Amino acid sequence: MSSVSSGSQDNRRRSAVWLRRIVRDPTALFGVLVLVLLVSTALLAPLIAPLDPNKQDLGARLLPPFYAEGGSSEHILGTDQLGRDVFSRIIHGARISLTIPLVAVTMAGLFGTAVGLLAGYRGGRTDAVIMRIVDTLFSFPGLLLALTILAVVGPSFWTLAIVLSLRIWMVFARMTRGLVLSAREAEYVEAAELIGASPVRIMMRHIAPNLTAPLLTLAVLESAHVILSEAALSFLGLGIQPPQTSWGLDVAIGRQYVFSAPWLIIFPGLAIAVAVLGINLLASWLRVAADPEESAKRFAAAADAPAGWSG
Amino acid sequence: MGRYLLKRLSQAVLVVVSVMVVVFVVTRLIGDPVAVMLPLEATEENRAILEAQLGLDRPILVQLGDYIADAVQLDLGDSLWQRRPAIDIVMERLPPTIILVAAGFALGVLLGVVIGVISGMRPGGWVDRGAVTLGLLGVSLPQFWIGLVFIVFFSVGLGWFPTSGSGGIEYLVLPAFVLALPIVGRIALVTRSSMIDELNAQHVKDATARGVSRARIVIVHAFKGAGIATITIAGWELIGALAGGAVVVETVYAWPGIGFTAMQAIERHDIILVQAVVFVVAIMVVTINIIVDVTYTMLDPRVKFDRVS
Repeated sequence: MSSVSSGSQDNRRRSAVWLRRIVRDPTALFGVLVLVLLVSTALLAPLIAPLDPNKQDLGARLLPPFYAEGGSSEHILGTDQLGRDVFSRIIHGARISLTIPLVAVTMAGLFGTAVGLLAGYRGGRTDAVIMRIVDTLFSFPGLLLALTILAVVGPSFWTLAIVLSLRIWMVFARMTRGLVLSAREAEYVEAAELIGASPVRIMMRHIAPNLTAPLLTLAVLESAHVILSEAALSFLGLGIQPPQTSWGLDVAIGRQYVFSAPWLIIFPGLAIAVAVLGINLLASWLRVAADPEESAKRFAAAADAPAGWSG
Repeated sequence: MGRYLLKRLSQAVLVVVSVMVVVFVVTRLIGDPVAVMLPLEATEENRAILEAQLGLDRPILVQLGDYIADAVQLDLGDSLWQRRPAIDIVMERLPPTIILVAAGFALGVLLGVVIGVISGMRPGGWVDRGAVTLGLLGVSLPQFWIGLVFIVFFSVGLGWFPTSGSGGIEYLVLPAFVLALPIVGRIALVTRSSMIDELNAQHVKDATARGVSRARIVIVHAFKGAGIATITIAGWELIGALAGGAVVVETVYAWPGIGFTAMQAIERHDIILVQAVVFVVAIMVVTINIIVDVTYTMLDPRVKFDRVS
């Protein structure tokens, strides 16, 4: 990367390689498609949604989806107890399912990475104290404590995002610390230290590049956890509050009609399941793809297996 | 071993105390317990009476000290909802939770290990692909949703199980299965991955060369190594089921355990009772952690007691 132009060319070639690898792998492709669908639905919600998600129509209460008797193409996934269009609510619900993990994982990722860098680079006492705190937090009764805090502080978008990020920042801290420790052992880092490079330069130039891929993969994985936690908390009534819409909240509302109008829970829940599955597939593919060692191991294992153990 | 246990025990106490301090800080400093407990139309006088009753008019550090001292003696105050010691209510509701979590966890670990071992034996085959998809589904499906979907299909549709509540074993089937789902998923994925590593390890290849039977290799040689990773994950899953999954599943199925109680207490603004649930769960979580660590240490000869911290 001697000049800017060759650098950008290099980048373009690398993204082309990644794109090809994604297209070739059905699981990764599914994950990427789900993510693209989620992002575009969230961004374009008001344009895509056929109706206002909060528009009540008491004359059209609890209408079944299009495939059932009495269903219509006007409300393809039916309506809820207030006559609101289920399909439009699911489309708008994508906004919360995208923004909550975006905000929570960004906050947790930045904070956790900073703490992990500090622990890994400083070592000694700083490291011991930080890691003791991290270990202690890992033993906290996660969801139950989150529920308690939200019940007392009052549920809202921001309290939810903060509580969810408080639950996961330690994962980033622990991983960053581990990566920094192993990177510091590398000969090129020792060499840089020997020739007197500044700590900041060593950190940015020699250690940081080792962190990007694993931390991004972790961020993707944690987004899936955050979507599930948000949905569960909203379902329990301690997450997103009306008039905002969230898939978990919609399942909670539909719960009272589970016998008469099961579509009210089936579709919003399906949206959560597809989003989380897509992101999980992408994360598990990224983990293997971004790690040459892991990649080689899987390939070797797959190539080995039939020959050795076909009996 | 004795010194190690003592050290782990003191760490466990530290964890429980910090959980309680966090709850204290959140409820007393960030939140306003009196406002949460009283109806909106309460007068200043009502507020003052309740504050005095709860001792909230004293200096905050005195309150914290008393609160910790009381918790040590298992005195967590009287439930505002039921007007009797909160710890008694939690203890009454604990057995159903233990039954549910034990059943779900046992089912999850059993299915997860079996699926993981079978799929790890031939990575890349169609059985493996199916197992991995199943595993990913297990960790991706929201439990509260799958719980309700099961009610729609198995209780309402087929009439096989009661929709909710408690009683005989038929009430336990659906909640235990829903609680087990993510456990099956994660344990299967982790066991599979470590089975692949172990089956490719030198000691397994040596055993194959010596003519050891395939069944013996998979069970004795490979799974022994893979089991260590599985136990660590199983410990995490047990904690997750207790402190998270159980709350959701008990709420969906109206299972009368501590998770359901915590939600009822939150609805009734009974902070004292919620706090008692958190306290008991925190103690159980650290206990599980110690058991997992000790098991892990005994199984893995490479880990020495004094080096684990």
